[in-house]
Amino acid sequence: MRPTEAEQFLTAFADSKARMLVFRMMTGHYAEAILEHHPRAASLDPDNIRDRTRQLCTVFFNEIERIGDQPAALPPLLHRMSRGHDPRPEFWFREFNEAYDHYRHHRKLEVKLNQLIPFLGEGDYADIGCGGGDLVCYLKEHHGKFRSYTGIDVMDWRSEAVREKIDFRVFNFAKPEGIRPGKFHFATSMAVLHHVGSTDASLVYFLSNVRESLHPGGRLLVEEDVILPQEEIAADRHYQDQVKHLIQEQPLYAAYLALDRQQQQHALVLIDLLANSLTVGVPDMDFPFGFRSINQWSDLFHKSGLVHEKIQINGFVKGTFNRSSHVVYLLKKDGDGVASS
Amino acid sequence: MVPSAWQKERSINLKTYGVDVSVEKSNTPPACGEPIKTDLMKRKFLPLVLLILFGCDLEKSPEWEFHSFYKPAENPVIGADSSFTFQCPVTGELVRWQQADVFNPGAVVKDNRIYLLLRCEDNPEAILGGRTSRIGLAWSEDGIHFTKHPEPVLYPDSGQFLTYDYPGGCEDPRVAQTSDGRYVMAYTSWNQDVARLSIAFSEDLFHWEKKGPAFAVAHGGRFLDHWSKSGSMVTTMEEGRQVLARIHGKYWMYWGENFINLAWSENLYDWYPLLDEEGELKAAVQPRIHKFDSHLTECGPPALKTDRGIILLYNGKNAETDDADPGLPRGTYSVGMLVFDTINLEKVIYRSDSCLLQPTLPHEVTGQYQSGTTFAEGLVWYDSRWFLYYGTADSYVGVAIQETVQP
Repeated sequence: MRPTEAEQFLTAFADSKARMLVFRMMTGHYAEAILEHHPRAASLDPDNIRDRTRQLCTVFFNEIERIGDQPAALPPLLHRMSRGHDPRPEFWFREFNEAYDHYRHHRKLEVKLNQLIPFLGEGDYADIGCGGGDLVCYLKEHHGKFRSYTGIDVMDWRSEAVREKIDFRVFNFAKPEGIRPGKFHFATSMAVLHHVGSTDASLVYFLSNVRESLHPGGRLLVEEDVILPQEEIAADRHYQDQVKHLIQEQPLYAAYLALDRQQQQHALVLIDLLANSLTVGVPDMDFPFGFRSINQWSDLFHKSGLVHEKIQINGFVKGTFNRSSHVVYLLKKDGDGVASS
Repeated sequence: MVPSAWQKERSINLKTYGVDVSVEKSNTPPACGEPIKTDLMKRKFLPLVLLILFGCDLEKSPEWEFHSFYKPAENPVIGADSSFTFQCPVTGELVRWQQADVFNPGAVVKDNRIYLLLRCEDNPEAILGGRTSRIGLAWSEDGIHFTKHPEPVLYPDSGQFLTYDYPGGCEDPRVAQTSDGRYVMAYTSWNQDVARLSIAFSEDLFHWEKKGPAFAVAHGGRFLDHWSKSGSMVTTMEEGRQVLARIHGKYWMYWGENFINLAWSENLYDWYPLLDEEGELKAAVQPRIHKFDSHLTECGPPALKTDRGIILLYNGKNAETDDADPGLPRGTYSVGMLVFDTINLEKVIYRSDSCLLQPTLPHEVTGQYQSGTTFAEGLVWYDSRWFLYYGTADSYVGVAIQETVQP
């Protein structure tokens, strides 16, 4: 973790509204996720799980609060509290670990596929920023309606199991040198764009290059964690309809939407870092917290020559452990769109 | 906003769960006996050495940081010492654990001192490869004059990794630090059958916890029994400190001696080597005929990520055949430089045609390995200079210094 990231995190943590919301969200969602994903879920006592989850989150928040304004103390603390720490701290109780490990290895991709199915098309498919290629592999095996499956990332670190099953191209759309990875009818970019660059110009450049790799009429599906300011929701009837429906199912999402722009950004920073460092066990982060609002992303897509077909606000997606404010954009390469830069 | 449970339960903290909550670590070395000063004046080579400048590849690498190391006159800076004894936990016998040779050092800066992790061999009578190596520790405030810790800090013991570590021992440490202050060592476990790259963790450099072979888990454990050595983890400078870098959300390590592979990790002890299309270890870099690295390309100190590239100093071994670089004695180990792309870490964007550092001093061409060796494993930014620590002919520790700007 760079010192500036620790400072950003502590600034976000000092925002009491953002902090309280994230505390409530983590305690509620972790408990729900344990009760949903535990391999022997029926045998669990829900009240007991909720109590222990609340204790778990209480430890995190108490300890982080003790740091005050000493960013240098944050990385060692997150490391000691992390699930990845050896030995694992005892407050990571057995049911949490069993449920989380089961979710991560057996359910996460299934949940992701269920989210994607309504959007998926046909033809040649690519996942841009695919990492180890697990999603591409899962789609091939459990969806199978595309003609071809290709993972694209800046380098190839596929596992042995994945390597045999999918095509792979090493390519960097932020610096497009070498052989282009081909043309695709449908591409996904799942929580990748905020790693690409912090400036609008770098994102437009990246997206314009992605657009070049789509067939005419090809589609790009983007998932990002976004800020939803009240003024942007109020100005769009489609957003309003979706939000109205969502907050009936997710009362906490209403609390998130009630925060102002900066408070929401703080909440996303807290969720992102806490989820990675504590649950996944990776205390360092090597990318900026590049969170944008729903319309800021829309503008970037428009500038990149990608036209909206659909914007779906998912909120704090049910059935997942680490929830954030997900929005899915289904974008189309339109011949009349703005030319790529 | 409803008051949260967290605000009501202030008393619950890490201590409740028995977790160590201290942030500051003690700077004092543990009381395992008084540290003993090395006596540099006994070195037989000292009067022979004067300031020598190196710059074999100057004309081709002006844009990169490492091209003008010099060897200070005090070389070699550490050697063997038969006065150090230690009870081997495997045999129960008292051994003179650094009686034969002390060489191939890893280096790291801690508390404004340079610390070296040293490969120390015990029995001078045994032939090359037949001794037991243990890893010792020494520290210095000027990078040249070192104080040795009296006992080894990592060695074959009766734990679960004995089968990998004994009888050959623990060799060739490279060490790096995480941004939260932990130390990670990559060393060779040598059981005189298969060399395995292994990992150990420490909070203070004195007490190490072995984590076992780096490739025990990856790809179904397929590479656990594969010959592996020489791990150079990727580091970067953060506010003047050299710390392990996270790139694409992972830690990275160049490793290998016959060729250079790249591996990633999320926990710093289970490492996943990259594979080629056939599912074999991918070779990012291979030896070149008629160059200083015509036989081996063995990774050196931790690699260093800069804005312009990831710099890896490596140890090229010249071939023993007609493939050798005619400008160097056959079999010589010398130090070269690679620079990799910061996005695609496999992509070489610069490779030195000739070596940056080579054996020239008497103790670098005579000793346990007589073809001549300068084998670099430690590189630290200290006192506004780069200190490169290397083993000499498998016998001594040498240092080369470069005055430069921090990358």
